[in-house]
This record gives sequence, C-alpha cells and structure tokens, in this order.
Amino acid sequence: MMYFCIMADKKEIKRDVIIKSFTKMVSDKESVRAYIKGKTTVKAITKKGIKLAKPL
Amino acid sequence: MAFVVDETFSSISGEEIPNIYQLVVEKANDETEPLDNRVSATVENIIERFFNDERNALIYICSDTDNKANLRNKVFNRWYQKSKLKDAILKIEKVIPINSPGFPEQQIYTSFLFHKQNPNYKKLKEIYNKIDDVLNNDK
Repeated sequence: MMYFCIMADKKEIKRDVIIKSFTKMVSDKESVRAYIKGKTTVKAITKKGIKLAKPL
Repeated sequence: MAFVVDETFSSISGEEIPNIYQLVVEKANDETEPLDNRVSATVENIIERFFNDERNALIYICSDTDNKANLRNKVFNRWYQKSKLKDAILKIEKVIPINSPGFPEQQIYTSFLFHKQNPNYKKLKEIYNKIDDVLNNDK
C-alpha cells in the first residue's frame, strides 16, 4: 500500500514539474519579447531568473 | 532574436542537461511591415550557425497572442519542411495542455530541434517523449 502511495506521489511530482517547467517557459518567452521591444530591462528579466545566452 | 538558457529538460529528468536553449523571435516594434524574405533567411542563417555546435538543442514555443499559436506552429513547421537543415536537424513537436493556477488555460505548441549527431541524442529524445507518457498516461 505504502509503495503505491509513494509511486503516486512521484508521478504527481513529475506531472507538476512538467506543467511548471512549461508554464515558466511561456512566461520567460513573454518577458524576453517585452525586452526585445524595449518594454523592460535586462536587469528586470535577469531578476526573474531568465538567463540570456549567446550560443553562436 | 534571443536565446534563453532552458532548464526544462534538467527539471524533468532530474539531471543536468546543458546546451538547451529557448529561441525567442520578436519584432522590435509593433508596426505592420510588408513580408520580407530576408527575415526568414536571416533566422535560418542564425539557426544554422547555432547548430554548428552539434551539442546545441533548441526548444521553440509558439506564442498564443491573438489565439494564433496553432497558426504560428504551422508556419514554423512549413519553414522546417522547406529548410536545408532538415537533413541534419531532427524536429519533434508536442502540444502541452496547461491548466495551472494563476495561468490562463491553454495549449502550448512546442517544437524541439536537435542535431542528429548530438552526443545526447538518445537521452534528449527519451526525455522529450517522456513528457507525453507522464501527461497522458499517469493521470
């Protein structure tokens, strides 16, 4: 019984992690769009935990 | 255009997966301008240079501004189908249903692009495909 409870918890966490990750991705995108349009600063988006990169 | 370090794969897998970036493409102003083919050529050139490093992987989500996420997704898919990058770069799409407190309920159209020679090829594909398993089967 305990085993099944732990398994259920793990699945819940995983599902929750995925939803949170993609929600953050959408929100990060909106912040970066605002930055490109000059509506916010790099400091403000960095504060939100967004890391701009130059992978080229 | 901007690249943002993306930690989604690390969060989902619980291990550090580097070299994954979210690509954000946006016009610097809101003015309507005529179609300019040089824009898509420039974007393609930047993506091509990005994949010069085979370890790099790209996640792209279609914005749902004006409820046009599906349309934007189709445009992006059309671009990929015509792109010369198609031979070297694999693209997988997923629609993620989001129903999260404090966030508008929506479908997120995602595309994941990575090099066929990526040293983490198998792992990346596995993690991305795991998303469906968890969202659809573990309810």
